[in-house]
This record gives sequence, C-alpha cells and structure tokens, in this order.
Amino acid sequence: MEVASEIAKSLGAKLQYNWFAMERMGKVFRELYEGRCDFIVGIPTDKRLDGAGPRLALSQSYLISGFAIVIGKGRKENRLEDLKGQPIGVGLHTVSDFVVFDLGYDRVLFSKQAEVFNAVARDEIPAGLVWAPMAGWLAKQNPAAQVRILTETRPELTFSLAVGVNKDDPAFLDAVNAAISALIQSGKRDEILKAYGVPTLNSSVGAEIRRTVRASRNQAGAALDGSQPSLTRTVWRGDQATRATIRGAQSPFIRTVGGVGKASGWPPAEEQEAQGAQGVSEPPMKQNAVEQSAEKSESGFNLYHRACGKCHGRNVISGGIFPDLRNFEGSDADFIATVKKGRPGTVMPAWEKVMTEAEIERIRAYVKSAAAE
Amino acid sequence: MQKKTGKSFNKLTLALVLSTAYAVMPGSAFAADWRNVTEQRLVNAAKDPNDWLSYGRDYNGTRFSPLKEINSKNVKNLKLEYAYSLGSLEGQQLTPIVNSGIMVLSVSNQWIEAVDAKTGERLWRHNLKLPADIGQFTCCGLINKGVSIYEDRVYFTTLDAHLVALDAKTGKVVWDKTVADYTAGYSMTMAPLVAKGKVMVGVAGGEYGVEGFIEAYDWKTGESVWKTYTVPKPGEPGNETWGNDSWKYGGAAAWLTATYDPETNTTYWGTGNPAPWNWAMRPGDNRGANSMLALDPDTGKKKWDFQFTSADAFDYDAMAEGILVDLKRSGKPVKALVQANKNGYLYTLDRTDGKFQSALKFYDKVNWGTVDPVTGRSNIDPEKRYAPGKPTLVCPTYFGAKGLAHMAVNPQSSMAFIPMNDLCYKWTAEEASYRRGVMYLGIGGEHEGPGKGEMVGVDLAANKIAWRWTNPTPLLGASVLSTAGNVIFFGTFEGKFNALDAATGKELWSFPASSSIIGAPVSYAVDGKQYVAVVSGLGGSFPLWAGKAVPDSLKKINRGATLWVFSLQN
Repeated sequence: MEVASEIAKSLGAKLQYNWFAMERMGKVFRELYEGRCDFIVGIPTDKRLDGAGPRLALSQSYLISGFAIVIGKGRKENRLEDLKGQPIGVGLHTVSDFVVFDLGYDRVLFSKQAEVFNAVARDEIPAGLVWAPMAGWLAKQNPAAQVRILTETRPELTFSLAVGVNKDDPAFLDAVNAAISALIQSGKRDEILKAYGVPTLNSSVGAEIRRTVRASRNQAGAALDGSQPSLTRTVWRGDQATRATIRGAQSPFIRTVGGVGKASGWPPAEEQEAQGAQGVSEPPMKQNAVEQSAEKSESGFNLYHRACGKCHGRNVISGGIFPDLRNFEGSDADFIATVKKGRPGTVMPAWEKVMTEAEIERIRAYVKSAAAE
Repeated sequence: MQKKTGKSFNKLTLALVLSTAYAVMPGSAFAADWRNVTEQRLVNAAKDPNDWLSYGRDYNGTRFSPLKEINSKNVKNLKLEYAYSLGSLEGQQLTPIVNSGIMVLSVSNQWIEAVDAKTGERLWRHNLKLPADIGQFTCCGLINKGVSIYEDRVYFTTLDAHLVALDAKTGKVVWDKTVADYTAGYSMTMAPLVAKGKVMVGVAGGEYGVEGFIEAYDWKTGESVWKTYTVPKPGEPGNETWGNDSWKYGGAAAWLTATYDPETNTTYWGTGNPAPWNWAMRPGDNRGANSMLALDPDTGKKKWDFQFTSADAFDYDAMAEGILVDLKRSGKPVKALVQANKNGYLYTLDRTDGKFQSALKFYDKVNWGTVDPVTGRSNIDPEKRYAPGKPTLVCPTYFGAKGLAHMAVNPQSSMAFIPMNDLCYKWTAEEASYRRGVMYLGIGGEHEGPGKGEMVGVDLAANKIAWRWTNPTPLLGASVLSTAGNVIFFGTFEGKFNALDAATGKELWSFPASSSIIGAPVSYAVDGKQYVAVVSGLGGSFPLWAGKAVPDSLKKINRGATLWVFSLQN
C-alpha cells in the first residue's frame, strides 16, 4: 500500500485503491486488462510463475520477500534444517506449505498467517513460516512474544516482488520503473519497511530451487493470467489483495476508475472487525506473493463436471462404463488419494498435477452430497 | 551314427523351412495382395462396387454401396459368415476399410489390424502406445473412427493428437507426426481425408477450449503443407463475432472426416461447437464455429463458409459429414451438399458457393428456435438461453438430433437416411474459467430421459420426410450403410444389427450382436460375393454423458469388440 502510494506520488497521480478478496484475483487481473486499473503491486517475478501472463508486463523488482522462519521464545535453531523432525507451522496451501511438505518436514496447518504466528508466540509449536511483511508487523506489535525472525530462509521461499502493468502500455511501465528506482534510491522504501518491521530476507544465491509439484502445476494452468487459475488456494477469510487506481490531473496516465475506491486506511473496516477476535491486527502490504496468482475458488460441482463427469457421469450418475462414485467404498482419504494419484493401469489419471488438494476435497464433498441424494 | 546324423539334419532342415515359411509366408502373400490405392481409384470409388476405400466409401461421403446381390427381397436370408473377436473392451466407433479383400480396422485407439476380409484371418497388428495420463484429456473413452488408405499406406490419428502412417503391407510405422499438444486438450479420433497426395486432418477438443484447425501433411514424408485455423484471428473477418476475446479458446474443432469434390477442387469440413458451451461467455455469432468450411486442398485457403447455429448455446456442433450429391429440385439441378445438423434440421447448400438452399426439420420437438427459410440463418429463442437462476429445457440435447453417427445417401434414389435422437436437456448456467487441460463448459443440468431414437428416411429431391422407424433408445451411434439393393443397415445400443427397406422403412431383418453397436457398417465384395460387416462394442459418449437418460437395459450390456461379417446363404 505504501509502495503503491509512493509510486503514485512519483507519477504525480493520486492513488485510489480497491481491496479484493484473494479468491477474486481473476477479477483483479481483468480490472487491469480492461483499463479500469493501472497497476497491481506485489506480483512475484519468480520463474515458476512465468509464461502465462501474455498481457501482463512486470516492472523491476521493488522488494525481495517471502516466507520468513519465525522461531519461538528461547529456542536455538537458526536454519530451517535445524527444525527437521519438529512440527513447523504453515498456512494451508501456501507456498510454504508445499515447500515444507516437499522437503519432508512435519507441518502443522493453519488457515491464516496470523494464526501461524500466534501459535509460535504461544509456544504451541517451535517454529513457523510466515509471510515476511506480516511476520515483521506481527512481531513488532507483539514484542512480549519474544519470537525471532530469521533473515536467512530457503530459496524456494523467497520471491522477488514487482508491479504488474498492462503490457500494451510500455511508456507507463517505464514510468513505474523510474518511480521504483526513485523509491529505492531515496531510501524511502527502506523507511517503509522499517516502519512496519518488514525483515529483509536472504537465501543462498545459486541454490537450486526444487521445482517438483509446483512447476507442473504451472504448466497445467497459466499463473498470471487471471482467467487461468493455477497455483491453487483455499479461500482465506479476510485475505485481500491491493488494487491501485491512479487518478490525477497532471498525470498522463488518466484512466477510467472502475468500482468503488475505498479510501480508508489499513486495515479496511470489516477486516478490523474480523481481526478483533484474534487480538492482533494485520500488517500492511499483506499481499501473499503466491496468492496473487490464486484462482477464484471453483465449486466442487464445477470441478467434478470439468474433470470427472465425462467418465463418471453427469451429476455423479454413472452410465455403467466407469465406476459409479456414489458407491465409493473407501474413506475420504482413500478418495482423495485415488484422485490425486489416479489408478495406474486404467484410464483414471493422476489429477494432482492439475488440481490442488483443496479442490479435490471440494470434489469429494460434492460427490458425497450427490451420493446422499 | 550315420543314420542318426542324417535324421537330425533332416529335422533341422524341416524346422528351417517351416520357420522361414511361417515368418515370411503371410507377409509376402499379403504384400502381393495389397493393391495400390491410387488417386484414380479413390476418385472413381463410386463406380467400383467391390471396395470400401475411404471413410464415407467415396469422396462424396455417401456411405452408399452399389452392390445389390443382397437386396430387400432376399435380405431375410442373410447369415453370419464369421465373427472375429477384436480383443478390446473399449467402444468401437470405427468404419472398417476394405481394399481388394483386405480389411483394415482401427480397434478403438489400441491397435490397428489387417485381416482377410473373406475369412477374418489376421494379417498384421500394430499396437499403439498412448500416454498414461490420456484419460485426463479424452471425453469418451479410447474412441477412434477408423483408418484411411492411400497408395501403400495406412493412416490413422491418435487421442494424443498424432498422425501416423503405416506400411500397409507390414503394419510398420513409416512416420509419426505430432499434430498438437494433447496436454492442452487437443485430441484426434477421425480418419484422415487423403486426396491429392495430402493427408488432411482436423483436431478435436471443443470441450477443452482448444484452437480448432485443419492441417494437411504430405502423404509420403509427413511434412506439413498447410494449416488453417477455423476461428478467425484478430484482423480476420469474423473475429469481431467473438466477444470478450473468446476466440482464443474458441474451439470450433473440425473433428470428423471431410468430404471432397475433385471437380471443384474443394474439401468440406464441418466445424464443432464454440467453447465454452455457456453462450454468455462469448457474446456474438462466433463465426467459424458450427460451420461448413469449404477449403482448397492445395492451399488450405477458405473458399466460403456457412454457419448453421449462430451464437450457439447448446453445443450444436456442425462437425457432421457434408454429403455431396447431385439433386434435381423443382426441375433444376443442384450441386448439393447435405448435412443433418445436431440442431434438428437437414440443410441443403449449393456446394459450389455455399449458398443456402433449404432446411428441413427432421426432429419434430425442436424448440431452440427457428431457421430463416430464405437465408438459413438460425435464430435462437431468447427464452431458451439459460442464465444463472434460469434453467431452460431445450430439444434436442447436446448430443444433437443427429449426433456423430453418420447418415447415408442413396444418390440413385436421392434418399437420405438420418439416425435421429429424441432427447432433451435441461440447461443450467455455471461459471467456468479456461484452465489448460480440463473441460471448459460453464454449464450444468440434466437430461430429460429416457428418450428414444428414429431412423428417418428423407426424399432429398422433394425435400420431404418419407418414413420414420422407431427405436427404444437414441440412435446416437447408428451410422448407416445404404445399398443399391434398396436396403439400409445400422446397429443400435441394444446390440441389434438391423436391415430396413430403404423405400418404406420397414424392418426386414435383425441380428442380435453380443454388445452395443456404435460402429459403421460397410459392404464389399470378394471373389464376386457381397458381404456386409459391422463391429460391435459398447462405449463412446452416450453411456458416459447421458446421465439419467442411460436406460437400465443398456447398463446390462457387456463390453467387448467383435467384427461381424454377413453374407447370403442359399
């Protein structure tokens, strides 16, 4: 938000912004493509997310951020590797979740980033991975928790963040790049980071990033084109992305403003309410890099009919050729495992490269509800 | 000692002779038998009654056999000559190809077999290897519609979108080309059209938001000669009829075999539905989809196009065969192209310029809208356009009043025989965003079953329905064979292989096959004797996609592929 504000200032424009729930990311990108919005902040430039946003141009990076390792009070660990065998808290279906799983650590799932932090703060778990700007802010707000935020993290967990603009407007991209250069050189960026306690992250340069499950997911669905969901995600209540709209008399970049700009401070009113119960307020710049590319949450009904119904039948009624899923005899876990891995030797493919576990779970829930009818 | 040695020497010689004979004999005998399939033979196929050289028997796509040893008087004496198990449990939608006594069959997308058409003895088999994840990208099982032949080659397509050329004498691969990336939802089931030294194919994948195209390959080398997209790109006329940039994933796949008119040097390609199915996501007519495209076989250039269902909301593909037949209408000769469209109308176009001639409703319950009798333009009833919270009941269903089963035309009597589906669908609107490699539909709903089927005889000259024959289930798989003996043949989901009187629609003969028939019957002659052949094997889209409309009786039918060959036995 502050970054967006500075860029706007530098462009001589007035910032207007809209908050969108993460599951509306497709809409956010459409806002940009259809000219109702000028730029989107917080888009990861990671190669793993490449190749899919033909209409999106990325600025230079304004920040390297990612998931920071948050270590509980009195603990000695200094690296992720030190935590092998111990439970690590992660946000469900975030990149941290996947990376920790891939690396073979034990993980404890939470539905919100703040919950991961709180669990570490309350010593329920020894450590957790929290989106760095949020971790910094939470730590600043809760000095009593005495947690440590490690500046060293895994390369898989770091992202170089940029501003996304419409590819058809190279002049505007140049202007944004110039604004970012000014922001960094003037020291203004570091001021902002400091004000919110955002840690700077390091990861060993040249370390090979494991691109297993994530890479293939990206092949299966284009990441940055809002119309092509790829990188998963459960819906997080309260999760929002920033959409900035610029309007200014002096600006050569006047655009029609779509939607209703909410000129409130952070966090938005309903967000503040929702957070009241948690006892900690959420930090600014809350964009989760990967959730920027999140799909909107598709219903189990839709997913079933796009992937499964062609064999197992419309509305889960088999025509007799393939198994009728209403008669599935295994457990929920069996169902999910079968969908993920397929049935080798039959035409039932492994769906894990196309769908997330959360999506498969929604399919399972739909099939179960259809079977009950 | 001496004796012993002599004996074993003899044994060894005998073994050598035997093994050599075993290894070479069938191949060499067969090699001698394969008659080269020249362009000349293909162009004149209509005049040569003995073979079935191309998908629709001739380039006109008539599925008409000039043989008449078997006729409406003696067809009751038709008996099984032999049955040959093809060893597959997949659905069999193929049209067998017959060249001088050798039959080539594409057994689903699992293997290609060449058999002696007289005895059912196998000459060679070529096994296919499909990727392990193919099930993610197919709609209807391991379906394939058959092979094509040209010179000494056999051509076929695969579900992972390859075009393969085999040596017709051995079944060995000559070349294998990747036509498109199957992981983006492209697949192929059609038999290629081979003419003028070019192997021409379209792709399937309209349910996956592919970019439909037609491509020609050199028959010898497999090099691509031309490629024409079915949906107009930006800057091309018609692109403006694809609102919301929907042309990008617009589908319009030409997924069945084209017909070809050597006289005007034109190929005719029916194109499929615009993607996604949900009409609201692609405002406009969506030109290129649901159309007949007339392409020059030398260059791929479009000569004309005609759209059957504009601004489609109901998956009314126009992929079906455009059969070429010369008619006399009100005393005037018409060089016609006839297509029985999914939308329930039989269209007649002038094949020289694409001009609309007539549309005849062959399915009485059509309720989606109307066809302008002068221009042929479709007008969908706005009340039938489903929307969130507004489901609509539409006849016919997305399978179409006439689905992918092929009609046949008797050019001598100017009759057409349309396998019809009487089934309606209740549509609901759902949201969908394009996602690579999964279906892109945007609809929900359910069939209003159980439905039934009709074989419809049409007098093309008078443009009138002549007769109707009713079946307990839809005739979605009932491709028709028409013969000069005034008999038509087709199979049903029930597994019945039927012969009707072509003039009256009266049932003359029926044979109970061991599984459903969704394949196309053919007729040919060897050594002066006429045979009728069909492959059975339950599968394909209907049992998978019909939901509640799949009758319980069909669920009791076992799978299993068999080639049935019939002849007259006095």
